[in-house]
Amino acid sequence: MPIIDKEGNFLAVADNVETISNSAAIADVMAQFANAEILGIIFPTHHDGRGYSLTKKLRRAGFNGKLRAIGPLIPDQFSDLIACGFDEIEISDEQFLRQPLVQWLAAKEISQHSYQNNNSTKTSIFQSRRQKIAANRHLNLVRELP
Amino acid sequence: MKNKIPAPAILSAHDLREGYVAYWTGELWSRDINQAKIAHADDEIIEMETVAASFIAQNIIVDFAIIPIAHIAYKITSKTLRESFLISGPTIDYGEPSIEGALNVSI
Amino acid sequence: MYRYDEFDAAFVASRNAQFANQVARRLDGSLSEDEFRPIRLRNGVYLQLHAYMLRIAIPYGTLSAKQMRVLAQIGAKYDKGYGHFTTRQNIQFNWIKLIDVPQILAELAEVSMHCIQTSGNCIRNVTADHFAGIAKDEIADPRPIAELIRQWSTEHPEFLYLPRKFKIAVTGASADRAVIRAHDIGIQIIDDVKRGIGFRIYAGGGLGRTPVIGKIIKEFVTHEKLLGYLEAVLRTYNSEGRRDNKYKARIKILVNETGLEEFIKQVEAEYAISDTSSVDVDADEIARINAYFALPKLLGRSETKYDAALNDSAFADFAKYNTIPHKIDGYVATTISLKPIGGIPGDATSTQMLAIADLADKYSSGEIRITHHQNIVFPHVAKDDLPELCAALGAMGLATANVGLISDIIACPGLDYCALATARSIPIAQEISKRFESSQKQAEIGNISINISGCINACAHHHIGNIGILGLEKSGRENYQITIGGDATLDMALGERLGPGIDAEDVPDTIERIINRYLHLREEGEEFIDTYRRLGIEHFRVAFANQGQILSEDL
Repeated sequence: MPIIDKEGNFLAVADNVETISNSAAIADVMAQFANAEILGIIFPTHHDGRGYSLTKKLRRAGFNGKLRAIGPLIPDQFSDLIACGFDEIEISDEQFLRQPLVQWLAAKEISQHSYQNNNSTKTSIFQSRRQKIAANRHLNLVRELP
Repeated sequence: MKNKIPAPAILSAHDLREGYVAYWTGELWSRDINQAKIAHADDEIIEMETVAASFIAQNIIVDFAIIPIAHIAYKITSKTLRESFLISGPTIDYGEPSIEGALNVSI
Repeated sequence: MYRYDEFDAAFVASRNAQFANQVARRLDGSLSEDEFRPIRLRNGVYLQLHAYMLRIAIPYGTLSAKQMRVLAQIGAKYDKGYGHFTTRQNIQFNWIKLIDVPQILAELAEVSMHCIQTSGNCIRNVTADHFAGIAKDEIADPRPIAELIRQWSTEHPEFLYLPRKFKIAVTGASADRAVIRAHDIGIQIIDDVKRGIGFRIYAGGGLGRTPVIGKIIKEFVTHEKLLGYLEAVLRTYNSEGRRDNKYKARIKILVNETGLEEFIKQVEAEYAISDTSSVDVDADEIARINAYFALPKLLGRSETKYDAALNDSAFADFAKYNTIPHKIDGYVATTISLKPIGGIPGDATSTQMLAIADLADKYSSGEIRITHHQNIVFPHVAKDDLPELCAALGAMGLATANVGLISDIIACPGLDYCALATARSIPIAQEISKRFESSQKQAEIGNISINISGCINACAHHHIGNIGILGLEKSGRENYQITIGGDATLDMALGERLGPGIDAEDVPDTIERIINRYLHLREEGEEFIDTYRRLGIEHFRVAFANQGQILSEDL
């Protein structure tokens, strides 16, 4: 099945991914899979959002392997999945035909702004404001120097 | 499976691009209910469902419904409450739209 | 008022580009309807009974005259010349084409408006007291915190696919005008002797099929920590909320099934291990947002013209029912009723919206509020300007003096528009309003709320109306259940059913008999709700059960 990683690379390799349900208890998952290289979280539908919180919790608990979102997810969810801590997305062949890589890249590109701090490299709007306020303050201090 | 709708019935749907209600005439989609094709037998209803599925697949319509009707004195009326309002449109009288000046707003 | 900075503007612009792209991909088949539906809902686009409907966010009910003009324009250009103000302080247009939505969003963005999260299973538009910043009983203005919540909840990547919709309301006054206990989360600003200003959090409120009154889950949270705490509540709900049945998916069901204490324990456990540093708000950001909500400069004014006008009884009624005192002497907040006798509750034409915008510029420092009662407020009106304003409103059919009276009815769009409705609401509201047309009669009846919902989802909050009317379908006919005794304040109460459902034609008569019963039974100084509380429902059942029988008070 087609896999797209967070850098936008298409991976078609077959690998041995361990998978868990999106309702799995965090303690059980960590007991069993803490050292897994790749852990797949199953999304039964694209609008079942439990996997987002589960990923946040897994990252918080110190899971360092790759996290893969598996299910009928759509390009428009790409950046949100990455923001919550996923590294890659696995979808069906049918879906990849309808929503080819270019749509995933475009969807990621288009949502460049975010109010929240998150696991992606984007700077949040709250952070940007803080930086701007700090920069202005610094500028004012410099201006006030004799 | 949907509950089986008894004939006579018509096929309605929303136009995907605009959203307005349209009826299947047997050849095309019309906003005029009086143009609607009436299915008089079960197999005609099944055929209508196939038609709807094909137009959904082509991204032309969305949310189709088979509406059981009464056809009295050449006037089509729904036998179900909700669909009778779908056919009639809002029952509230608004009078003439009031848009004076609103098209030339400068902000 | 809050104004977008460069970051907000850039966010909305990219969000609009994204939606235009999504519409294009829906039309070319890249997105199926199932995939597209949550996306369009999160942009305020519903597919209703007759057409697409677009719901535009009016965060915490505050908007400028400039923004109102753009709403008027959208009504004229893309709809049929009117718009409908909703019970969650938004506006919706009923005849919008999907292909026009990207352009409409672009026009809205020009005046810092959007449709983000006005629908869908996500954190919805935040609501607040419509008298925020002006009411005398206010501890602190709820809008800065509501704005902060708006920003934090906007496109929050973790909470876009919740089990069900999630509504948050904030009040900063001792009287709750934001119905916080009927919300998934209600936030009450409190002034604690030791800890200063902070927030008390209610959760698990909601009406709909299973009405539940929100309960306190946290006595005190500071400004800095509020978002982190909300995140813990949302994460608990997103993980544990039911997804097997949409009627059991709201947080109220989770709280009830888990048990309040256990739910609080789960949230606290989640909060304890959360790293909230990324959402903790520092003093700079609080100060930045607070500054936007400062009162406009209101000059001292004489009240001679106001006092003189009180000799006119129509003006005196308007002043009595449609204004409340302002924090600043010589000023009032003025409510413009969108409930003319026989009218459509919450509707305004584009022409009226334009006139409202112009009058707001002239008499209310350019500021407008929308109430969850579906009325409009001019927050800062000098009393001496009120006679002029009242006359100008009257010329537009906007000076009905009935705020809080029996014809000030809250009603959802019902089966005339809504795809979910099971019966009509608007025509019922119109008939009741006509029945009690006499302003003398309305004054005699006093304060009372009638709420009419066209289905079990309770958009018009019928459970907490003093008189609640719920429209259902029964054997192919519209059928209405009547409750009495609901209360929308902090002492929230759910109404009790008077008896079996009745036909549409019988509703006005039945309401009149309930009112006659109340007028007959009430004691000096009582409002409807007081009489009900003193005597209980049994005293009112007689008005309902004996439909054909003439009661002494009917004579």
